[in-house]
This record gives sequence, C-alpha cells and structure tokens, in this order.
Amino acid sequence: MAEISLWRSAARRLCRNPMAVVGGCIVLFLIGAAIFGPWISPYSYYENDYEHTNEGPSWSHWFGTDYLGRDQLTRVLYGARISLAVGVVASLISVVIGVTFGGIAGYVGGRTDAVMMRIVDIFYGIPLILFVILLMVVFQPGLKNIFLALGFTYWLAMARIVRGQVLSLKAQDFVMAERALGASHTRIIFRHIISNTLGPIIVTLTLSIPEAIFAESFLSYIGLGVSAPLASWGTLAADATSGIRAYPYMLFFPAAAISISMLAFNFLGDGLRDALDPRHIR
Amino acid sequence: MLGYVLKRVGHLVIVIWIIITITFAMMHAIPGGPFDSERYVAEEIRAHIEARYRLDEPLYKQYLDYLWHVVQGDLGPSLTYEGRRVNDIIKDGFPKSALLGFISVLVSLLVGVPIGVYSALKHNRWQDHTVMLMAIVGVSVPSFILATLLVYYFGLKLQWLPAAGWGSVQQIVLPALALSGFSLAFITRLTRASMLDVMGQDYIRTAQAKGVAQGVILFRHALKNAILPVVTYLGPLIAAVFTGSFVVEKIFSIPGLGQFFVTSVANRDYTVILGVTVFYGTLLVTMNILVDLVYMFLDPRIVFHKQD
Repeated sequence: MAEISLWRSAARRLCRNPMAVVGGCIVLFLIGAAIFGPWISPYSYYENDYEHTNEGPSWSHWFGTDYLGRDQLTRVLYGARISLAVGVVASLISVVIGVTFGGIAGYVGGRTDAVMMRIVDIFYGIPLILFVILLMVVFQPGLKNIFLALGFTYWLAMARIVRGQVLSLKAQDFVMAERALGASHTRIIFRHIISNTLGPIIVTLTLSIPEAIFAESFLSYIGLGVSAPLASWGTLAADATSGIRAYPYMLFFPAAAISISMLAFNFLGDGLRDALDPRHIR
Repeated sequence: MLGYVLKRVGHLVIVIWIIITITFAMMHAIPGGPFDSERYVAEEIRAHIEARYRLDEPLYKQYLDYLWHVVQGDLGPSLTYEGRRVNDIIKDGFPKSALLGFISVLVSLLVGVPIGVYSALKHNRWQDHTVMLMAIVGVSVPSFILATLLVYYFGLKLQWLPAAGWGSVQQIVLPALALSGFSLAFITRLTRASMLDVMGQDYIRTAQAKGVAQGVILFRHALKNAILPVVTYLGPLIAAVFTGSFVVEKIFSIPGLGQFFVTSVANRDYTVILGVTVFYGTLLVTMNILVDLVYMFLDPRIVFHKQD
C-alpha cells in the first residue's frame, strides 16, 4: 500500500514538471515513430532512385533524398530504430551488469566490497570511449557489437550508485527488523533492497540512454557504426557532412533527431530524479 | 597527506599497467590483426614487426617485451606508414591537439564560470531561464554536429572564418568553439547549481548581515567554494575535449593526433590505434589524478575521509 502511494506521488510530481512532461512526450513520439514510421512510409530505406537524387524537401519526400535518391525521412525513421535500440539495449545491459556488481558489493560488504569497488575505481579513470573504440576495432563494427561494447563499458556509474544505495539501506532499521524476524536474504534483497533502489536505477537508466545514443553516433561518425545500407542517425549525419556545402538540409534532419532525443531523455531523466527523490532539492 | 599522494600514484601505475595489458590482449585477439600472416603488409614493415614483436617467442615473453618497450616509451612501428613509428606520429600530432584542447578547456572555464555565476545571481528570472535553456541545448548537441554547423555557417556561408586548416589564429576559433560547446554548457550548469547552493548557506547570510560588500561576498566568500565542483569536473572535461577532438579535428582538417587516430581506425592501423590508446589513456588518467590532488589542496575537508 505504502509503495503504491510512493510511486503515485512520484508520478504526480513528474506530471507537474513541464520540462519532464515535454521530454516524456517527445520520447514517446520518437519511440512511436521508430516502431510505426517505417511501416507507414511508402519508401524503403535501401531503395535507390537515380531520377531523384539529392533533392531538397518536397511533398513527395518531406526530408528530401540523398545521393542515391533514397528517401531521407524513411532513413531517419529507420535511423531512429537503430539509435533508440542502441540506447535502450546498451543501457539495459549496463544496468544488469551495474546492478549485479554494485548490489553484490554493497550487500556482501567487507573485503569483497573493497576489492570490487577498487576495480570500479580503477576503470573509472580511463576514458570509456577509448575502450569502446578499441572493442569495436577488434570485434568488427555491427549492431550487436555496439550493444555489447557499450553495455559492457558503461556500467561503472550504475555500480557505484547501486552499491551506495544498498549499503545505506542495509543499515536501516526496517531491514534490521526484517532480519531479526528471520527473513531470508532473498526476501530482504528482493522485497526491500531492490524495490527501494529502483528509483535511482530508473533515473540512471533514463540518463544513460542519451549517453549511449551519443556514443553510437560518435562511433558511426568515425566509421565504426552499423554497416550500409542500415543507417543510424550518426551514420546519416556523417554521410551528410561530405556534401554539407551543397546539401545542408541532409545534415539538418539527423542532427536535429539526435539533439532532440538527447534533450528529451535528459529532461525526462532530470524530471524523474526530482520526482523520485523528493529530498533532492535543485 | 603523503600517504594519499603515494596511494594515488600507485593507483596510476596499476591503471596504466591494465591499459597496456588490455591493449596487448586485444592486439592478439584481433582476427586479421597485425600479426596475422594473411594480412597484406609492406615487406619492410612486416620485417620490422617480426623483429620488434619477436613473434617466434612464447606469448608471455612477447608480453613482457611489449611491456618493457612501452614502459620505455616506445610504442612500435606503424602498420600503414612505412618507416614511421607511433612515437613520431604522436610527437607530430599531439602538440596541435594539446593546443586546441588547452584553448577549448580555457574557453569553457573562462566563459562557463562567469555565465554560471551570473545565472545563479539572476535565479529564476528570465536571464537565468535563457542561460539554462541554452546550456541544455549545449549539452544535447554532439560536438561533431556543432562543428559541422559552424563550418557551414561561419566558414562557408558567411565566410567570416576559415572552414578548415591549421596554422593561423583564425583557424583555431571555430574548432575551439566546436570542441568547447559541450563542456562550456556543462560548466555553466555546474557553476550555477553550486553557486546557488553556496549562496544559500549560513556563512553567506552572516557576511551579508555584517555588511560585507556584495562583490567581496561574491568573489571572496561564495565563488571560492562554488568553484570546487568545477575543479572535480576538470578530469572528465579534459577527457571529453580530447575524445571530442577526434571528430572535430577531422571535420576541420587539423593534422592533429585526433584526426590521425580516426584515420588509423579507418585503415585498421592497429599498432597506431593501440599506441594512441595507451598514450591517451595514460595521459588522461594522469590528468585525473593531478586534478584530484589539486582538489585535495583546495579543499582541506577532503583529506579526512580518504580512509575508505
């Protein structure tokens, strides 16, 4: 009962935050566009049309066409699928790793905790994107490898947050009481610790999605992204750069898509943080 | 204090060792990698590599050998450029990247901190909202997009500044702007938040109550404390600027290390990729630790909870 009202009051606080609402709506719109957009569009993302290459936006091609006559709107919509999928899947992988790692460190505590957190400390200083680049070079570009490379590198922040949260929860009276009543570890972990850590986890997850989208576009830009004819927003932006002088509109749409989605997820994440942690004052 | 410094330096050594070990492992894991005989590599370079990496020796010997070379600062030959060593490439390109990076960091700080303070002083007024809106846009636009837009508008359309190249002062302006965009916005947000936090504290109210001039309160009392979070962000900031320079240098055709790195990635010039990774990794980790030490001197409170 108490839990429901906690989530409900968080939802209420979230809805009162206009930035977060706008961000949330844009996120929903982007997801909808990514799922349904390519179906509705009369064009495919790989079909060339040499009669209509490098055309500006028009009624038949809202976002124009590229150098092979492919419809840019369709490609941006497909790009949304790939970029959002990278954001979500990579973040989920990093959440699973981070929560498990941080959770174990925090719950077991003692020497295990010290050793595990020292590992996190050590990796924390290394610029992660270098690792990702290295992994992508070694394991060849491709969607699956992007998921894995990003997911396996970006979990450190999550591990730290979860570990801190678990450490402080573990010491609280209600957990102590539960333990005194003879509750098992599983019950304590799932019923009390995880449910109380969910807030920070959701916030970190939401904020790590734009980070992953950004990292993916960066990788695509230096040629380590998905391979043609598939294209993420980063690939589209990179392709457009070479023709920027003659066809600036080609950069505009993927660039706007990346920036707007980063903006939206950041708004939503900030809003969620404020809503889920009432004590946190901005 | 000394113990803490020593601990951090020990940390540094471990991290660098891990970076070197990972790069070594990866170099040997790459299918079609530098040591694959199927791959076409110029005769001279192949002979070089075989001599250099002692491929006939057992793996652990190769590893120790590699480690020893890197410790001495020798990162090996390039795979695509005959007769060039990774060291030469770094020596050639890094000063340019470093200068560009330094200017970008400086711009982010010198512009971001004052704007952040200003925004905090105008808290919840339209100036504050405008600054925050721009800062949010700033952190949401990736550097390569900002760079391309700058090239297009100021370089090609308005022709105010050169769109590419390296050498003159004008040529630094646009890439430095592109590179500092994100960190500038981030520092603005950080400064504003921490300034708001500090300005609400009791000792500021005390100072105000006893009639200290507003300017003195601002600079001597508030800013001194509000700047601390910005200092902690310096490490990540430097890292962001250097990794950002990979694409920004490419867009502006700056012959720096960043552009070279991207070209090497495209060419799969593994020894250069790994060498530059080791170099940047070491550099940035060292920077991080330096920043931490500076922070410790600035904020005496930090020493008390070093014990964990």
